[in-house]
Amino acid sequence: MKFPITHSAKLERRRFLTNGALMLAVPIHTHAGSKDASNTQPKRLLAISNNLGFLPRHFFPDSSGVNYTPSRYLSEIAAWKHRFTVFSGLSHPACEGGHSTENCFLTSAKHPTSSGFRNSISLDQYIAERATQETRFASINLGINIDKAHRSLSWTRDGVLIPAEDSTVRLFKKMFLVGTKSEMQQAMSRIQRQRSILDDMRESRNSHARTLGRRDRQRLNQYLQSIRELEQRLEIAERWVNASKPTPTIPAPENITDRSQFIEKFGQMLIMARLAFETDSTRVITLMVDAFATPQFQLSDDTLAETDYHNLSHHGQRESHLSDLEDVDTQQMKLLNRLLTSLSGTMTEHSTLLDETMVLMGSNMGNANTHTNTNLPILLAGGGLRHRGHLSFNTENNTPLANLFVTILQKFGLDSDHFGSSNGSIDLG
Amino acid sequence: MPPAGSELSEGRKHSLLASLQKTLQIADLKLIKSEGRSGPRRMTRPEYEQYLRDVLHLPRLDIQDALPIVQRTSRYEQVNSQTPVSVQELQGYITVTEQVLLQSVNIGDPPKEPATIHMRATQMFAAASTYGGPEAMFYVKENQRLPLGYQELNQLRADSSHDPAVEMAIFRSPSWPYYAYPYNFSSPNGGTYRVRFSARTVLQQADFKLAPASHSIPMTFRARKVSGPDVSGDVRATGGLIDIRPEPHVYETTVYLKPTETFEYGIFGLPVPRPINPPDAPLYYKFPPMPKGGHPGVAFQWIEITGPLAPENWPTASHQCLFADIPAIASPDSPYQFRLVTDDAHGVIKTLIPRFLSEVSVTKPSTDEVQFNIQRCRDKFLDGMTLEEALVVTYASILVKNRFISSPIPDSPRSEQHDAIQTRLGFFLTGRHLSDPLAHALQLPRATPGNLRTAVARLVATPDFKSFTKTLADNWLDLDSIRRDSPDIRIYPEYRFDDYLIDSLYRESQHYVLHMFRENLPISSLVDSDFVFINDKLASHYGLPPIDGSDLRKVKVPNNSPYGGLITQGAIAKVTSNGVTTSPIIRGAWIADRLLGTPPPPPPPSIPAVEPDLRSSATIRELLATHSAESSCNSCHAKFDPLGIALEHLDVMGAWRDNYRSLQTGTSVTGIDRAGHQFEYFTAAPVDASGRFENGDTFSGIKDLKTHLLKQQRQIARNLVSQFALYATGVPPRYSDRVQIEKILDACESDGFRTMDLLTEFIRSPIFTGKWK
Repeated sequence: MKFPITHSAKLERRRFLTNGALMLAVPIHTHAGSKDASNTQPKRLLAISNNLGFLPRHFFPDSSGVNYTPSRYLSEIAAWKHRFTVFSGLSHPACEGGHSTENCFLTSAKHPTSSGFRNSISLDQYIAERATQETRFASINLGINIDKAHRSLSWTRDGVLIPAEDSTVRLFKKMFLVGTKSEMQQAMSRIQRQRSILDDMRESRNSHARTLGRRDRQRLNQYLQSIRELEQRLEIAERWVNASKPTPTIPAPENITDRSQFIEKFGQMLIMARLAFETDSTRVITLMVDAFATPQFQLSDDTLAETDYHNLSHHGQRESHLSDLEDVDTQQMKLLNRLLTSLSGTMTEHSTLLDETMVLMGSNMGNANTHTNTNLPILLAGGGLRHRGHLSFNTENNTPLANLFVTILQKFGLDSDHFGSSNGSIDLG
Repeated sequence: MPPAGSELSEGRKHSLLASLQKTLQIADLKLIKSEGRSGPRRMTRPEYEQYLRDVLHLPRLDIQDALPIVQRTSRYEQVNSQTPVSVQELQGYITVTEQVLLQSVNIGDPPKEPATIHMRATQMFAAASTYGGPEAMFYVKENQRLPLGYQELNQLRADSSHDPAVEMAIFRSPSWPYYAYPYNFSSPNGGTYRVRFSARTVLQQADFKLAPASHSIPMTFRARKVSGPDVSGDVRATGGLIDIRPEPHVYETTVYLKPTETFEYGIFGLPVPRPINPPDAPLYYKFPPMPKGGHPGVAFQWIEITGPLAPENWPTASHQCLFADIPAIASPDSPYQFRLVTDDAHGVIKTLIPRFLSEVSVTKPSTDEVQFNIQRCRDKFLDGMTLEEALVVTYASILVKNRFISSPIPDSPRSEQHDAIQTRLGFFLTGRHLSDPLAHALQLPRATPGNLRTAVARLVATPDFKSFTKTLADNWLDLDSIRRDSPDIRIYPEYRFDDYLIDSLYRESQHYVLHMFRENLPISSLVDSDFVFINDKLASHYGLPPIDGSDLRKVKVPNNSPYGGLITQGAIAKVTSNGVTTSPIIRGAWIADRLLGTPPPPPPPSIPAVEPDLRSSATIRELLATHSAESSCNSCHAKFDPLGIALEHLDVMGAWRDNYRSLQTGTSVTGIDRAGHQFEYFTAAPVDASGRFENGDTFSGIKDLKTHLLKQQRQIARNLVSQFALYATGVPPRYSDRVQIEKILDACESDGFRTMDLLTEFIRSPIFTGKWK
């Protein structure tokens, strides 16, 4: 990949925006990262998982195809019927183990409870690792009511949990307020150290080059090329450390610490996600909705759910539990509707945020009542994909969910034909 | 394809090929002379991990998975040396290496003496009960259940009034939800712990009474986070397999925990309770009905945990490698949060850099190199890095460089590579960089083309030789994908949750390959042998007389047994099936490819795969017959389908079967599996493992297949040597290697191509040594 250094024009444009105080609902492309932005439409991903899922009977539509009849839940986002695809018959193969699968939603690692299990790289980190750093944050990992020590959608390639941010205030600060001097210094010296290692590696190598054969010299050149590419990446990272942060379009949100305000918190996190995209702070966001850790919660100002979320989900067909679940599921779909509306109302340089943003919403739990991890509820909206209504796969013999991840990677322009347990991709071209 | 009737006569074909062969041979040798045979070779991820473990004295380092895998172009990662270095790869190695170096530093005072926690049975389980009802786990006094509720247990724990006569008994295997880790124990910062515990095997009878057992039960500890009944993050077996015996006994082992981890009891082969979804009530877990004699289980009396065990020296060898005896103290404002206690930064750089270089270098560092690195380190310091940064960064670049700038190769045409043979030998046979100190420790003469026979013999006897057979078997035989598919529990209910079986099968095949080389068995042992390595589980899996215990033992197989040899081992049956069905096509192709080294060409893209239908009664043979009737298919399939058909009596896990199983047709078989689940499958058509090989010989099953394969020993040996070439050099056999390989085969033929002979002759050949004439 080549990175032409054409940032000066971009910086001027940014200065124009800030000086003119034009705080429009327009992405403030900071473009400290040099790139040829004018030609390529950015791609974004928001991946959401509620770790207790949704009631399958109200989630999945009965009919398939482009002209399917929306299910009860999907009717809440019916306005976007042609801008999303709902999938049935997807799951992660051999990813069983009830709640233990929640950490595998974006990784598709197999057998999470067996000896020798180690999680693998999650979709967001896979993208972040490969993309040039065109935004300040390579990825942002969010959580609602999340048990941070044990749950996350985001995992490194050696199975280390990347903790989710659950405070809107801290997130706001990270995105928009100037960091402390020592934080900046730490970041700078980290970059300088890596750069210094590259210097050493390049220089000492050159002295050997003369003694090499033709084929080996070719390899050496490829190697030097990679060193140069990495240096360019570090240069971009360095510019990000020094670049001023964007100005947010809304004031800092109030931090809700009360876990029973589940729906309120969910709504706020979605606003934060939109804000992050709008200010082009990142291109990849994950959001784990930790319903499992959610206590008895407010369904509305004056109604409490009958019990905590986990107990609700083991409804055992009890009417009172089912009606609470329907209520909270529906409200989450309404929040999704609100998100899609605001993304589509946000104009960007090329089109709208919705066209540039793939919103994946789903769960690792097919049916929380029975603890099954097959037939997962999955929908994918926006992102400029050719949406296909209700795409139904075999419910007896599921298709790997990771096939959809491959589709997402390809939409990101990455040269990937495989991810985790995938055995193909899903055509949304 | 030439038009029919225009083929060359045999004589003309032969002379044409002979002249072509000569030209090709000359051209390829010329290329080898000018460019070397194989090009530079980078360390693989496991090799780099082992390299850092060795040079930094960090035996438990676990970083392979943190290192990026770059598109794999071959079964062997060794071959990746041929692919260009990517940015992710470079960045990954740099980041990980810096982190590892920082892990090596000892900050502050030596650690305190390890603490010992002694727990009674009533402290050994996190909760008052587990899932699966009281049968799954309960407390015991005088061989009778002692009902202890949540509150009573908490009271006992609060008052520390534990009754030493109480035992904690477990009758289930781990899965989720479980809870089986000690109450209130986790390792804050990780480390090694010595664990002693007292236990016995028991039988649970009616009314929760315990009776003495007569068999031992294997268990292991599973490192995991304290995340309630579910699992989050790594789950690792640690502390090895321990056979718990019927009489109470004290066992001792060492477990390794990461920060915040604890360990749970992983008892093998016991039921896993089944979830039940009653209408209008919450889900619960049910224990299976009691088998004859009672539920087997383990009763624990107490456990004692000591740790984290302090390192033998302080500073540790890893700190010494970096900073000699210079102590490091905490310093929150420094970039690395520590600093070295010294006033003489320049002096330190001048001493430490040459010291580090000589310890970690793959080839002896030249004076130039030493000076260069001292200078670089000094520049960093003068440019504003702290002393610690300057040193660590210089170290990191030396280590990463050693990884990317490939080890020296013996056949490099330009420079004198005197360490190259020893280096290649080390990575090949031990997966380690065979530095001079290591070679010395192994009493190994400096490897030269002349003494390779001695060097190989010495290395094969070391424990590190296991790394060779492991890498070879994992890649060549696909053993590393043994857990790829789970057996379909609808058809094979007996394999549900059977980690112990998979574990035993993997160990069996790995051990067999190791044994084959160590004992210098002939190549025929890949096909057949009169013995197997089995433990209690495998004895019953293979229908052999029962034995007790988890250790693999060499057992003679009866004359009429299909087992013996590698190709009939369960691990091979497993990696050549998809968990649901066996496919003679896949098994046949596997034998043709992996054993004979004659991989069939890929199927034409337009042809759909044979899809077995579990509902119907059509056997795979009938399905195959339809596709073999097509002559265009049959021209290839006739070569390898029969090899797989002959193995049809082995099911997806390698157990013997007389009939297929179906989900809908045949004779119903019902019952409750060992995990407590009700099952029903159908016994379908009998297996017909007979047919005709490509050469016209008829066969009726495994015995005939073995006879057929034993006629092709030279071809099997040829394939094994080709595997060596690919693994050792990262390049598959080249044109001019063919002559060398035939020479190796000629030298070993009279003794039946003994495997260690083949390996030794290969290592002495120019393919390995680079000494082409």
